[in-house]
Amino acid sequence: MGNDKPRIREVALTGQESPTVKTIRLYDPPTSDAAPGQFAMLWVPDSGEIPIAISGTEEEYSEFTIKHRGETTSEIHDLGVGDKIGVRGPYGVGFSRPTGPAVILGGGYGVAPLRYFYQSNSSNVPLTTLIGATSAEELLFVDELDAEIVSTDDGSRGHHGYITEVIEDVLEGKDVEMIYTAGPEPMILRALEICKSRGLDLEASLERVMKCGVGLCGSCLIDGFRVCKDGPVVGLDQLDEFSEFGRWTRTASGKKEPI
Amino acid sequence: MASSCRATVKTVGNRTGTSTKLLGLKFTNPLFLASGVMGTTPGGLKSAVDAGAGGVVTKSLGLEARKGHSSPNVVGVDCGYLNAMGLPNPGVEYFTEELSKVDVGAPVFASIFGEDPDQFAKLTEIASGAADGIELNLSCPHAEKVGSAVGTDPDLVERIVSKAVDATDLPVLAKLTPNTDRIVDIGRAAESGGAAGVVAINTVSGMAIDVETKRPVLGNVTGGLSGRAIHPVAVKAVYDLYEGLSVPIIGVGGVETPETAVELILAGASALQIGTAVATCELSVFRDVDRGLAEYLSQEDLSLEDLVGLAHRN
Repeated sequence: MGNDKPRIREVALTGQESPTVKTIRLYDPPTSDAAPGQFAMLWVPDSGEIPIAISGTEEEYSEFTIKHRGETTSEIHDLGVGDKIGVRGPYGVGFSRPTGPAVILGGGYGVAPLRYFYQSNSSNVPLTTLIGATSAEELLFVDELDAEIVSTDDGSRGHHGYITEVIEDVLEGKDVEMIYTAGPEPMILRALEICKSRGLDLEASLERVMKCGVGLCGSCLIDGFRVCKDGPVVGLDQLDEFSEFGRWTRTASGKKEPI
Repeated sequence: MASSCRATVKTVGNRTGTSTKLLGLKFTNPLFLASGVMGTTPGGLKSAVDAGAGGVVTKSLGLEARKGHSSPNVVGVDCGYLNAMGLPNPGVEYFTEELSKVDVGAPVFASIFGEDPDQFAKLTEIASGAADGIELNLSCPHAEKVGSAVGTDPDLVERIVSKAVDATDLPVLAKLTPNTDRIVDIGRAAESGGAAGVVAINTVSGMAIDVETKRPVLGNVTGGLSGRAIHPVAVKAVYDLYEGLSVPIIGVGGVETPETAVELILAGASALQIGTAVATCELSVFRDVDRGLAEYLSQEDLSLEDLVGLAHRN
């Protein structure tokens, strides 16, 4: 329980990544030591607490890239350098270390944990990055991750359509063993099908309503799997076993809701 | 925290000397998943059984869906967690419908919370559609009008239990709060109302304040303390209840190791529930504690039944 009490940190740096996505940097040794794919619970006193993936680290600093979605994310977007925020964690199971050439497949703000994955692994193995978003201005970290192909739903940049439509072209002639992915569930499901049909391995970082972050409350269950403690990164076999993934999520009360 | 989860009692292969019959039900072992932990979905309950739980209790269910308190909902403290989930649940009808389609693999107790005897009766009737037993939440310390708000007045407790018992053929358990000086009176009231057993204890009322921001950490300001920190409180409550009651007691509070389990059984618990340890340890805590318990019984040449309440002087 040593890391389960919020540590109050000052925002050291902020960066606007897109009209709706912002990055904050905090001095926080416990999360700066985390594996890519792990996450932290960020607390804004008097507002709320939310799970956010670590999107990068530098020495004892960690970065968190946050999409503007509700009250607490809005409060975080309003923070400036020197403002305070609480952090607990790191939590969950992160991505494995790639042992050979791999593809990074990110959709929307799912690119955030993959940025940290790229930082940690790009000097060791060849990584090919594919990034999709709704529009050109919402594409994240395209240059930083040296993206080979981008797509936008509205066609404002790159391939007009979903990023999953170009994966197979990219894979042709490449000696890739594995896809690392995070983003919308239909994208992850499509990547799963592609991996199964081509004999590739896959790891995906998943997102669910999370309240406790430590495996207690059950808010984040997919079937009986605790995304916060036993995920958020899951392997191909686990992903393939889920009956709810890609079809249902659960609201804060535990009711099923179609995706 | 991993080190505290390891058994100090040596464990052996896969002995199963701990199966038990209780409340008219058969359990492969006396270690149940406590309410409020992973029990929001039938899949979560099944995961606990797959990991070795002998029985499971659902997240507390109310008449309507409820999303719970604002966050933060959980904060770690020394030797435990404070939580103020706020009884989030999809509603008793919704959950019962979902549960009826799943074979959990062990007896399921539906935990329910209400504001008065009539609500408890209605909840009991609906939940009985898919559960094997009912656990009345008379003890959540951080929700208005329900939980411990209806669990500290013995007369009211007796009426609630009595109404619930009349509404079902299933065994009815009353889960008691430690946040009172009258736990034995309340236990006796539950027994008089017809409870098949009592469950002790729910979380201990508590609070955390961040000293830098000078703000309460939990969204609900106050919450309930669980985990190793409350184990001695649970031992005392179970010990006292064993002296005053004749129905079985299910002990809960800080069970993480075979030793902590044995201690509660010696105090008088016929079965145990495990909650916080599924976070501080792994889900395998059920199997680990069960193995250690079996080994202890074998070393001491005692049956589980023999062990219950053995700390009491005759």
